Amino acid sequence: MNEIRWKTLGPEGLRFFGKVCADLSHEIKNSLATINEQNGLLDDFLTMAEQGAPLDPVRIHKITRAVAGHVERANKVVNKLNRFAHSVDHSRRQVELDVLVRQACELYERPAAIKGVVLTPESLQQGINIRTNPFLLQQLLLICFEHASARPSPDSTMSVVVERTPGHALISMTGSGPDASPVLDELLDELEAGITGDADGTWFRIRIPLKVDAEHVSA
Amino acid sequence: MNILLVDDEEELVSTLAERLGFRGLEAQWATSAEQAMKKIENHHFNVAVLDVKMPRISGLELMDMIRQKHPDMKFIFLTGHGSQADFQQGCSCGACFYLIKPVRIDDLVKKINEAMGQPPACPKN
Repeated sequence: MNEIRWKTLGPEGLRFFGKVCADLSHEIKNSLATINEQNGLLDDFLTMAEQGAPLDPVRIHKITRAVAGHVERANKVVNKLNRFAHSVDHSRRQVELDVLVRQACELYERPAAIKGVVLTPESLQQGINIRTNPFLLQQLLLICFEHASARPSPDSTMSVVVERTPGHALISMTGSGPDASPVLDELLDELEAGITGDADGTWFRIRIPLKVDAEHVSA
Repeated sequence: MNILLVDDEEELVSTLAERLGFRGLEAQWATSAEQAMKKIENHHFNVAVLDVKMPRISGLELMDMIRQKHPDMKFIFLTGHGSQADFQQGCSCGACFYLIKPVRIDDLVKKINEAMGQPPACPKN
């Protein structure tokens, strides 16, 4: 990523990376804490059994199901974290936009829930391939999510739509667009993207040029 | 002694309540600040064990809401991650203790007992 102007994007990118990792590790901690309590409960039951109380198989199965559920949940979060960590591997690469936007929505799921907002990837058109910086695009999306979720719709939902227009990909979200800032300006500049909003503030759109790798075109 | 546990992780909070019950502490649980406030209307609690990060209303905000009605109640924060700043924020507004998940049940029982031996929480500024 050495061609990127690091003066603003470097520190902000690191802050963003840290925030996402902190949020995801918090989710993992919650699952570990639940597994810890299920283990403790099992231990309590065994201690009581040693003192003559009968063991209830239904309760034991409930505990094992809860543990399995939280192992699965934590594993999903670790996969999210791993994908996010690898998004800094290439400063530019070919991405499937629907996949990247869905992953960004997943990264923001818990912070949105803390704000009482449900983030819905409503309609993500498949087959839109763009050449971009995946880390910076995720950073831009989460800035937009954060801004939009601060002023949610009356039903506390936030919709995200991905679609193709001639020459461009559009990522639309409910709410008003983010406020201007040096970070936003530099992100838009690096991604060659632009943001426009509806006059009534109900939707805004990120517009990204459809640039693809030469080998992808020939394919 | 009556304990109120509040955490949006239902399997965690319900299991903790059951395990505290095995140790002679009557515990009720809620998964949101709104549910917790309803419980408080109908029951008297000595100690509240609160998660810090919860949807809509945080544990710190919930503590302020509870203390307006029950200034003598003691508070323990139970959260996924903690920093010195979080701890000081909790203490300065009247919290007794700050525990990091996962917590050992014996440590939680000890802190609850210690909290009950504490003087009333510092007055709200």
